[in-house]
Amino acid sequence: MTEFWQTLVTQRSALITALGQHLLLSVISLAIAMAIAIPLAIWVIPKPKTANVFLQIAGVLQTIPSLALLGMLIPLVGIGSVPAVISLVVYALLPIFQNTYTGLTEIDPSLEEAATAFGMTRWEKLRKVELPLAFPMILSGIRTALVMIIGTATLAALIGAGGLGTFILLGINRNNNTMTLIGALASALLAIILSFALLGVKRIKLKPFLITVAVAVVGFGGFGIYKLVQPQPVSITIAGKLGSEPEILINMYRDLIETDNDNVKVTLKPNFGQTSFLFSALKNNQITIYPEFSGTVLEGLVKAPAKQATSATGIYQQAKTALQKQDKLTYLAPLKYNNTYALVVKRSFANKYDVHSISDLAKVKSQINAGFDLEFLDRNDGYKGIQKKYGLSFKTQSMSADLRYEALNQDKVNVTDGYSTDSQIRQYDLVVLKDDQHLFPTYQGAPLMRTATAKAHPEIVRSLNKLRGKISATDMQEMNYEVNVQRKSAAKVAHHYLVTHHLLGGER
Amino acid sequence: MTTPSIQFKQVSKKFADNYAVEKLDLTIEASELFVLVGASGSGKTTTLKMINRLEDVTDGTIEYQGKPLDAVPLRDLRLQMGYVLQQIALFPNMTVAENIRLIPEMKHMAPAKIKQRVTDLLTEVGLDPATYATRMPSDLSGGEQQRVGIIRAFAAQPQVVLMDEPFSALDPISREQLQKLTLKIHQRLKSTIVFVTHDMNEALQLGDRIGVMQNGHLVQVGTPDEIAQQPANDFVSKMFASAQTNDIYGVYLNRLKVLGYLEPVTAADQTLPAFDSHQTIGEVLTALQTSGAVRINNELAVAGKLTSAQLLAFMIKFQSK
Repeated sequence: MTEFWQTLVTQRSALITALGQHLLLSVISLAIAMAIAIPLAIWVIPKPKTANVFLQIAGVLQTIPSLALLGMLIPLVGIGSVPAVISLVVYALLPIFQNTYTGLTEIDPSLEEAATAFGMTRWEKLRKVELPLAFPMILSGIRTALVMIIGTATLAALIGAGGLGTFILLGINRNNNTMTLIGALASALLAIILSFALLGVKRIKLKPFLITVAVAVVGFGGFGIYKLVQPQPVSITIAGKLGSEPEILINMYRDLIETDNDNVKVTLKPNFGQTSFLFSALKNNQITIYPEFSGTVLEGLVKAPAKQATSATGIYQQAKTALQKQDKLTYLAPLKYNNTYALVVKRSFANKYDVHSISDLAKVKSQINAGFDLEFLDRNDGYKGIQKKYGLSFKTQSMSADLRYEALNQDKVNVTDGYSTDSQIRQYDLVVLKDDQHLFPTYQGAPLMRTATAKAHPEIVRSLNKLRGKISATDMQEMNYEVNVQRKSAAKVAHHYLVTHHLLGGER
Repeated sequence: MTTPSIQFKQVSKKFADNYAVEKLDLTIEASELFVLVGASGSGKTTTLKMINRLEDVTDGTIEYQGKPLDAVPLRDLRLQMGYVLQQIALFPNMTVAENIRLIPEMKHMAPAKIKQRVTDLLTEVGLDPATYATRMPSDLSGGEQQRVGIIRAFAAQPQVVLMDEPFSALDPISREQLQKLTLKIHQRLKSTIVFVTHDMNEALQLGDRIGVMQNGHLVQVGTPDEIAQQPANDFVSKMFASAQTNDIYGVYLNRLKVLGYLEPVTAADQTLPAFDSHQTIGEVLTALQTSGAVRINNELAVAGKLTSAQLLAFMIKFQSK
């Protein structure tokens, strides 16, 4: 319980931001779904056959799993809020359409006859009689849609649209149940509160309700336009992949940039998504900067060079050149640490069998029971590479990335794969075996940005290059440990590092 | 002779393969209260609904004020025709006043004038505007609702009001009150009223003229007197007979006039107690006891003099049937 309050306090500003994003995403989606479904239902009232077809289509759309729908939208509209809103709208269509249609068709026919006999036009009938009578029914459809939207919107975090799902994903990613709980609770509370608010709307009349909605929409729109139009100082967005390490790095970027440049305003988008999302977001100028690893660049983001370099500097240079040539991107100075695959054992195991490098494993081949991530098992620079390059093969089992450290700690396995900066290495006091045959590629982190931006803002480049050659693997393990295990905020950890290493302010 | 209000010329209406109305010829005069009476399925409601084009004719033409119906824009036509339904059909989302204001507003009448008219009409039908104007229809009894239904139809002073079995779902007391009300409003406003009912008694009490329908045909058109004296066929006389079984004291004085029991009023009769033609025999008995005769007034004119002897003659004839 104390842990819950602590997390709530340290994460409160992130929580408020996420709540705001979640609310905005939900309200916009709901408004769009209403704007589509209600007029459509009105339009098909005289055409029961068409109405039936629409009901079927809306029903089918709703059966598509939300994850699949998000996945299908990415190639079409990219990542971020747009696909999230589209898929939320798709889900909200059915309840709103169905209730509007039912509400309007179930009106007492004698009232319809009276309205017709009085000479009302179709529009007058709708406005004065049909919509007010169907209003409670339509409203309950909107409520159903709203609750569904708020629940489903947690998935938006997967594609970089933010919201409360960020907390849930982060919690799962960091094996931090408290964060997951906070995200889930907040979204449930939001659904309950808004649903009750709509229940209150039922008691008021249609006209004031419509006016309120109109005012709210105009207000939101006006605020948005104001934000767009108002003269801005330089405003940049720095995003990071899922996890604590990128979040710590981008917090350092922000501190460095904002300390050196008063006129630059940095917006952070931590846990923005996976590599390919971030890379395309950068190219489309949706984000300004994000930290990327040299190895990852060569592996998938650029056309692989004919002969890949082996040294850290070589790999970095190849990545830098290819990025510039292919996508007009500038790769800034790299950090010191190398975040790559590692084979990890317990300290007791290392001491008992005197194992300090991967080659040393040959001595205890028969006793090894390794737990590897599925991907590691299948990669040429993973277990396959170990078999080939080190001539080693031993007993392995696949397990999920989240579980392998826990399994190692509980002696279910005695060797596992990991990343050299994982906080668990520090947490469980584990030993990273030396890659003496240089199997694993070197992954050096560095800020990536568009060349156009780099040329326009040399001051930003200067600030970021202060990190050249800083942060060792042990430093990074420690910082990851503080964020993941000690639940400190990434911003504080990052700031502390910069201060203790005298990187903030005038010193060069 | 003024232009007839509504004229049916060889009008037929077919639903699927059945004629609901076949080759109907009928002229309804301006300012007339015309009652269409018949059993259910006789085509009387269909005939009514063809007037405001809720149903379109299959064959023949209907003329409104000398022009074919389809020559008048539909909205204009309907705005000139009030409509009262058996189901009452007050809009449940509007207050009583909002229901009444509806059509005057559609006709863009001045708001102050509309407000005045709502107050006047509510008062006229005995619903205190101060308490009733802001009530919702669901708070009213059936009889009260139909009062509102009637004044909603008359509020914009239409040329024609169509009433489709407006009282058949009400209790006998409310029905009687509303019949009187209908006559009163008709005499004041002089709209043409086409009134549909299955109740011959109601037809006789209300109608200036009555049209009897049977199986989609109009079998007789005439004044209540003519229907009573010379029924066109067995069906009409049976319907008429069934209407006579009612309590004699409930018969309207209007009927006595129609049936010829009233004598002309002379200057000497000015002192006689006066009664309205919408009152019943029961209501004049005491006065007859003391004065021997009473004056019967039609709201605007003196209708005639009823003597004890004439009343006795009517009652003897009534009983003998």
